[in-house]
Amino acid sequence: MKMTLRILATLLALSTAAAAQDGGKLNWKGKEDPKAAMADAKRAGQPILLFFTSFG
Amino acid sequence: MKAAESLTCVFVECNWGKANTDLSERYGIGGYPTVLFCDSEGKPIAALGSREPADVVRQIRDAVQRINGNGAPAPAPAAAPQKTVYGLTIEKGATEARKAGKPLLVVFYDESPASTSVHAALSDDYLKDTLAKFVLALSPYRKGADDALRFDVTRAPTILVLNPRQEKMEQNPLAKIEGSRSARELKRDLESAMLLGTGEGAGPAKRPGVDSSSPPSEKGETLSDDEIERKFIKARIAASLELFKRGKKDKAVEALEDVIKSYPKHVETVTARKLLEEYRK
Repeated sequence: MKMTLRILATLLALSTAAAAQDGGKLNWKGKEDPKAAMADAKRAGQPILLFFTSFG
Repeated sequence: MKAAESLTCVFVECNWGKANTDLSERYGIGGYPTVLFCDSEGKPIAALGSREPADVVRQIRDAVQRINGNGAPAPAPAAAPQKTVYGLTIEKGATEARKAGKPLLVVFYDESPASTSVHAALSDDYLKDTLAKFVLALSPYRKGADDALRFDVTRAPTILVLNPRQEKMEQNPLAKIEGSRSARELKRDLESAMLLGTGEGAGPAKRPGVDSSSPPSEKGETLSDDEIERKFIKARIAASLELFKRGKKDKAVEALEDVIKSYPKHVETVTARKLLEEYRK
């Protein structure tokens, strides 16, 4: 339960931070295949934010 | 362009080590959640330290700027965190800790993202007051090196909390914290170690909320019932901490509840109650 709350708190902090940037959005990818999402970022030349979590 | 929009945010569900293990191992992930900023090649640049929204904004901006520069190609990644953590050598640290009557905190680190994460946590202002209770020593980790063998450290990052008053402090660490930690997690671990350390004479600090006036028993002295109970309670608290570290929270809580139920009025039970509150936060 505590871990879940911590994960949710981090997600909230990230989303709040993005919103604070005048409407900036975090575009989450990789729920199905994180490596494919990283490959997409590489092709696009975009920096990556990796969010390691464990809801399992 | 807004910093957040220029990031590809990748959600890595690890399912307690059962999923995406290759990515977890590659980045040295030792706890959840862990947030890393990487360049487009996947090379780690920094770890998310503070989770306060304002700090997160700053960290996202800094990471994106560091990676992208001013639109120029990504520079070589810098492994160092934004702030530098200063520490003594282990021997100097032990000397200073003995003088100051504080526990010694030894941080074994390397270039891994998990070490970067711990480094960021240690430089977070959130830990400032907690760290003031320790003397900090830093030691670069190399497998098989003298210090690693002496302190039985097999990975980095590893943080040891040691009682410098012990002749062979390496043989009985107050706490051994391995893997990535956020500032909040580290604060909890260090505060717990302080509670144990206080009980073992590592420092002059009293337990929070407790003004214990009982003199410590000396070796060879027959233990009173009270001292036996103290030892039992401390042992149960230590066991609970170990269980918690291993992810067995239910068992850790059970151990503390047992202490509280068995010794509701004992002065040492205050520690168990405080720890139980921490577990439930």
